[in-house]
Order: sequence, then structure tokens, then C-alpha cells
Amino acid sequence: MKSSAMFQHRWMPLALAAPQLIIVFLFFFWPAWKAIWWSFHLVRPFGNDSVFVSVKNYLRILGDDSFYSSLQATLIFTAGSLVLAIFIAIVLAACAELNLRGRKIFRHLFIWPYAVAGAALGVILKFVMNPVLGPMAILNGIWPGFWTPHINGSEAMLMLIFAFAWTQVPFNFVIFVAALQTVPDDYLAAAAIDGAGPMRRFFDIQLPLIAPFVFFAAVINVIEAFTHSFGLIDTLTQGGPGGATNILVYKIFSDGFVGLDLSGSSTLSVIMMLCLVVLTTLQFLFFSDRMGYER
Amino acid sequence: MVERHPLLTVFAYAVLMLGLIFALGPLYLVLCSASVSNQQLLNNGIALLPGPQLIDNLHAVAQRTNIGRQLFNSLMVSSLVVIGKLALSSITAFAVVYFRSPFKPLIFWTLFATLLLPLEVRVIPTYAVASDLFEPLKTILQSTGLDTLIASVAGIRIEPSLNLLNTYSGLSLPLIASATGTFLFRQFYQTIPPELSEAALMDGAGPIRFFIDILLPLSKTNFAALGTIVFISTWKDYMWPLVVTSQENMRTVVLGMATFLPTESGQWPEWNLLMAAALFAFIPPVIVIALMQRWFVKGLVGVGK
Repeated sequence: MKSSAMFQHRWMPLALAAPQLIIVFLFFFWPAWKAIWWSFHLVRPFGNDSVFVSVKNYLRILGDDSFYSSLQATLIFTAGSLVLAIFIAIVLAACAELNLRGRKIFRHLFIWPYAVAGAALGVILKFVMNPVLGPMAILNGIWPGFWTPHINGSEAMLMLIFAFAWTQVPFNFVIFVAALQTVPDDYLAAAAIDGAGPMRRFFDIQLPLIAPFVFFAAVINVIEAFTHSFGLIDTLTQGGPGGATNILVYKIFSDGFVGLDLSGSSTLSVIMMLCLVVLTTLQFLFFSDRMGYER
Repeated sequence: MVERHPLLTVFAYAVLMLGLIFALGPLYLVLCSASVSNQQLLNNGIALLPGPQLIDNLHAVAQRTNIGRQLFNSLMVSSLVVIGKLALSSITAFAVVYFRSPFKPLIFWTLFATLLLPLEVRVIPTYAVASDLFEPLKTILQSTGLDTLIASVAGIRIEPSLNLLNTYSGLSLPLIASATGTFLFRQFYQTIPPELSEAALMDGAGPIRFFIDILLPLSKTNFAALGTIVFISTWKDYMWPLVVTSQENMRTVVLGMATFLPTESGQWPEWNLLMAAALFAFIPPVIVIALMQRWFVKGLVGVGK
């Protein structure tokens, strides 16, 4: 922190921060504590009745095949949508940064999809990807059974990965365009004088210079895939068919609210929080300078 | 950029056009299908050209569900979250940056920890909290034995209880508090030269005066940027409204659109109306993005960084 004239009040900052801290306590810490508490107890659905069972919930979850298939689905979903969303956004940002006519219009239009909620996209795709009505119906006409995401798990997963990548591209695009603008023109001019073509310049100068931003976007994408994919899954596949798209965030919800297994769902929550601790620490370690998180 | 390369230009345009189809194609298909009759969709499959029935379909959706109320709910919740979040984040960041106080690390790390606890992960216990806001207080009273003490002394049993389900506060409060906004303001305040607060101090301004008269006007850009981004992400939120509302008239439009999906399997939905409902859900934030383009991008980059 720079040496600036600080106000000398001992209690005032606490008083100023109090409203935020109270809300954070009520809606973040208390529920998190509750989740941890429930994960060590056998809890009746929304009753006060509970029995301490130590780590039995964890043993039950960790010994359950559906946990591992959910974990596997989560990893496939996350990795797939991450690679796709980053790749598409980099290509588009690199093209939009070339000296083209109308690049401003492109830059504007590419971020519009950010307005579409995952749940809305799910509803839309339920229609567009429909094997009877949508464009895929033509393929099914040529080759019956080619596209059946409602019964074929890997097709459903593929659809979900594309859909989620679609929701993530606008954010990545904005970040990458901003990153590319930090690359000094002189570097590119110098490389051009040395005879480097546009491709060469991109791979040898632009890409390495924006690499930290790419890594950053990747971490954010992973966190988003872990948490914000719920709406899309709930409207598009509901975790099906046969649990093929039942990724952890959806399983936490469906085990808890539909299956009324509060202990199991809370145990999953705690496991997921641990994953997020790792991810956020990673984000923090690599970006503390730029993000100004440092104390 | 440095040079023009005809082949590269053609290639880049091709890529950008493909990207445009990828980005806006689904939205275009929604618009087309929302403007034809359901019969046409069932006969010919998805519509590739806009039809004449858009207004009729939107009207039908408005009659079928209470879309006005849902739009109002979305607007209300998003505005509440924007106002609440901007106020809380700017004030908290001010407290963290401009004071010398032993509580600063406490405030900072408390907020930092919220990054580890997204709503989606703690959704079920958060629902329990929203259904009974004073439960922590009750637990503290019970575990310390204070409640029996008060009961024996005063003869009244304290059972504080406040249910936030199906209320605007229930819909917005859990979304208001989070660290991102606070960190954004904190980062911005740190770039403000210290001479400014020194001068204010010398002129005899207190912290509140300094905050209102100097810091707030300087942060206009940040308010606009963060406000836009928070508005859109709250509008898009699906899980929390789904959990916390059970009454039809408290649903937000994104949720209302999803409940338009047929519940019974085998029931053939009216796709044209469903797509018209989807338009209601995403056209308002598209307009916000188009109007607030500059702030929106700033917000995304800022929240990202």
C-alpha cells in the first residue's frame, strides 16, 4: 500500500463494512457452516432432527459409483467447454484485431450472446437441437438415429459442451481483445520489418504476450463451468439421459432438493468447496499482482 | 496493425462471418420461430425466415403467463442487486483502503473467502437460511443458554423468525454481497493519488465528507461499469429464483420462460410461443448491452481483472 494520508479511526471502517459483513455472514458463512455440519450428520429433510455420524456421509459418497460418474462428467464437461470457448474466442479476437473494415461492428456483435442466460439457451437449444424439428432432423432423415441426444449420453454431453462454450465465448472474447490491445504496435511493426508474416507474429509475439490473460480466462471458465452451468443443464438435459450430464453442481441440487438427501448433498457441497479453494488459490497466486488482491 | 495482406483479409472475414453465425445464429432462429405459427413449425421444421406472427405470438405469451409481472420482477430484483451491490462494495472498499485500522485484514479476508463459496455450491443451506433468517441468532441464543435465561427472567420466550422466501429481499440479498465488486472498487481507489486525501484532510474534511464529495464523483465510471455487468448477470440468474420462489407472481422472466416448457413428457410444446417467451427473457439484457456497450466491456474486463 502506498503511503497515503489515512484517516485515523479505529472503529469506523468496521462500522462502514458492517452491512456487507452481516450479509456475508448470513448468506455465505452460515450456510457454508451448515453444509459442513450437515455433512457430518444424518439429517432429516428440513427437520431439526439429526444424528452425528462422523465421516460416514463421506464414506458413502466416496463409495458411490454415481459420484464418480458425476465427477467424470464434470471433468469432461469442464475440459471440453474450456478448450472450445478459449479456442473460438482467441481466433475471433485475433481476427477482430486485424486492421479490417467494420471490425468495430464485429466487436459489438460478438458480445451480444452474453445477454442470453444459460437457462434461456437451454430452452432455445431444446428446440433447435430437437431431433424431430431442428436442422438435425435432416441428418436423421438421411441416417436414422444419427442424432438422438435424448437417449444417447455422449451426444447430450457434446450438445451441453457446445452450448456452454457458446455462453462463455463473449467473456473470453472481451478479455482477449483487451489483452491484444496491450500488445505494443512497435513490436508487431519490428517483427514485420524482420519479415515475419501475420501468422508468425501471432504465434511468436501476440500469443505469448497475452498468455497470462488466456490462463486467467481459463481459470474463470473452469469456475463458471463448475458453478454457473446449472441453468443450462436444468433446462436442456436435466442431468440425463441416464445421468450422463449429471455434473456435480446439478447433483448437489437434485440430491438435496429432489432426493431430499441433505447429508449427501451437503457432503458434495463440501467436496466442491474444497475444489474451489484449490482453483481460487491458483487464480490468486498467479494474478495477485494484476488483480490488486495483494495486501 | 502493420500491413495489409489480401489473402489474410479474406480469411479473417471468413472467420469473423462464421463466428457471427455461431454467435447470433441461435438468436436469429429464435426470432424466426417466434414469428410463425406452431403448425408451420410442426410441418416444416424450424423456421429459417421471419414470419408475420411475431406480435400475435408475443401477445399470446403475455396472455398465457403473467409476463408483465415477470418482467417487472426481473427489473426489480436486478435493480435492487445493482443498487445494493454498488453501495456496499464502494463503502466497504473505502473502509479497506482509506483507514488505518486493525480490522482491515479481517474485513479483507472475510470478503476474500466469499470467492470460495459460490451460491450454487451452498444453495441448499442458503435456502434454509432464507426460509428462516434469524436462525443463526436463535442458535446463538440456544447454545449459550441465553434464551432460557431471558425466559426465566422476563417470562417471554424469544423465537425470532423471518421468512424471506417469495420476497424481493429474499431474491436479491444473497446476490448482493460478494467480493468482486468490493475488489473492483478497492483496486480503483488504490490508483487515486494519496495527495487527494491529504489535501482533503488538510482542508478539514472528515472521511464521510471525503467519500461523498471526492471519491464518489471520481468513481462514476466504475459505478456505470459494475452496475451494467451486475444488472445483466442478475437478470440471467436462474438457480436462486428457482429455489427461493414458489409463487407464480414472484418468478423472474428467465425462470418463467423455463416453466413454459411442457411438464408432462409426450406433451407437444407450442414451440413458437416458447421461443417468443425466450425473446422476452433475453431482449432486455441485449438492449442494455447495446446501449451500455462501453461500460459493459469495462465492467467485464474490470470484474475479470
